[in-house]
Amino acid sequence: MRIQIDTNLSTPLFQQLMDQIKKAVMDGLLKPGDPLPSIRQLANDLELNHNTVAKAYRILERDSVIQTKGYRGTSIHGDAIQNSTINMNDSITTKLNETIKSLRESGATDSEIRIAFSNVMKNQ
Amino acid sequence: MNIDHLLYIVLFSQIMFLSYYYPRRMLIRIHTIFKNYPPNDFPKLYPESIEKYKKSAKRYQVMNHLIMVLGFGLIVWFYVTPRTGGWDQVIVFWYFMIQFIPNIGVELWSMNYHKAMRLLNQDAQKEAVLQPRRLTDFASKNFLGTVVVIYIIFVGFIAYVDQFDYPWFGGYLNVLIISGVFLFFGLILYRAMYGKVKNPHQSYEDRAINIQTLVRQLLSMAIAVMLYAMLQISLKVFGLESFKAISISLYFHVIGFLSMQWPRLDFINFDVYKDKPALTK
Repeated sequence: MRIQIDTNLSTPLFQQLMDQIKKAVMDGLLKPGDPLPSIRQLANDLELNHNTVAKAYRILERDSVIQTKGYRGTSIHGDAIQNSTINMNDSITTKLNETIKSLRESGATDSEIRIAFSNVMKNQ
Repeated sequence: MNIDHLLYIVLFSQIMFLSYYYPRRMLIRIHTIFKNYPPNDFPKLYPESIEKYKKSAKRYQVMNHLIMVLGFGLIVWFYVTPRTGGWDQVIVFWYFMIQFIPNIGVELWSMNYHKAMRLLNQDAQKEAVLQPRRLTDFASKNFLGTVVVIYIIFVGFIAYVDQFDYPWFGGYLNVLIISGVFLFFGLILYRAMYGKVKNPHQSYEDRAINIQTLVRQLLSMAIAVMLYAMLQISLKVFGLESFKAISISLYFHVIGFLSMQWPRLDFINFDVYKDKPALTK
C-alpha cells in the first residue's frame, strides 16, 4: 500500500497523511492488525519532519484508527473501519456553528464571541 | 614451490583482482550507464555535467593503475629482500588498505552525487510504502540463523583457546572486536533501512534491491570475518604462522568479491530519471 503526499497542497501534511491512512482503511487496503512503518521510517521515506508524522500517528491513535504496542510497533486498530468514518474536524465545525448561532440569537455580537472564544482558549 | 612463491602468486592475484578486475568492472558499469542512459534522455541521472563524471571515472582508473604498479613493486621488493617475523602479513594488510582508498573516493563521490540530486529535486510529491521494513524482508531466516550459529561457534572457539593461556592470545578481546565490527555493520544497515532517502528519484523497488544487496554483503562479510579470525588463531596455535600472509590475502579476495555484488543494471528502473529537474527547465 503506497501513500503519497504533496507539499504544494494547502492541506497540512499531517492531515494528508491521516486522510490517506483512513481512506486505505475504508477501502480495505489496510486491515485491522496490519503493521505500519515506524515514525522514523515513514518520515525519512517521505522526507518529512518526524514531528509531522508523529502528530498524524498521535491523532490517529486518539481516534482509535491505529494502535501502538511497545516493541511490536504500530498497527491498524481493531475498530479502525468504523473509526475512520468519523471526521473530528467536521464534528468540531458543526458544534462550533451551533454554538455561534445560539450566541448570535441571544444577542451577542461577533466581536464579543471572538473575544470570549479567545479568552476561553487562553485559559485552557 | 615454497611458501614465498605461494605468497607472490596470491599477492599478484590480489593486485590483479582488487586493482585491475574490480575497478575495470566498475568502470564498465559506469560507461554502460553513460552510453545507454545519456543526459539528454535521463537528465535527472546527471545533476552535474557528464564531463565531470567522466573525469572522476578517469581519476578512479588512474589511481587504481598506480596502486597496481605499487603492488608489483611490492612483489619485487619481497623477492629481493630477505624478511623475518610477521612483516609479510602487516605489509599485505596495509597494501589492501591502500587498494581500498579509491573505493573510499567512490563513496565520497556517491555522497556528493546524491546531495546534488536532492538539491535539484523540486518534486512536490513524495511517496512511501505503508509497510515496516524488517531485516527478514531482505535476508532469509536461514541466512540470519547461520550468522548467529557461526557467532556462537566463534565465541565457543575463543573460550576453548582461552583455556591454554597462550601469551599472544587476546582472549575475549577477540569477541569484543568482532562484536564491535558487527555493531558497525548494524549501524550501516539501520541507516540504509530507516535512514533518510539518499536518491530522491529512486523507485521503492530499486531501493529495496539496494538494501537487500547491502544486507547480504554485510552478513556474508560477518561470516567471513569470523571464519578468518578463527583461521588466523588456528594457524598460530599450530605453528603455521608463515601461512598468515597468504591467508590474509585470500581473505581480502573474499571481501573484494563480496563488495562487487552490485544490482544488475537491467533490473534498475531508469525511467524515473527521465523528466527534467524543475530548476533546469
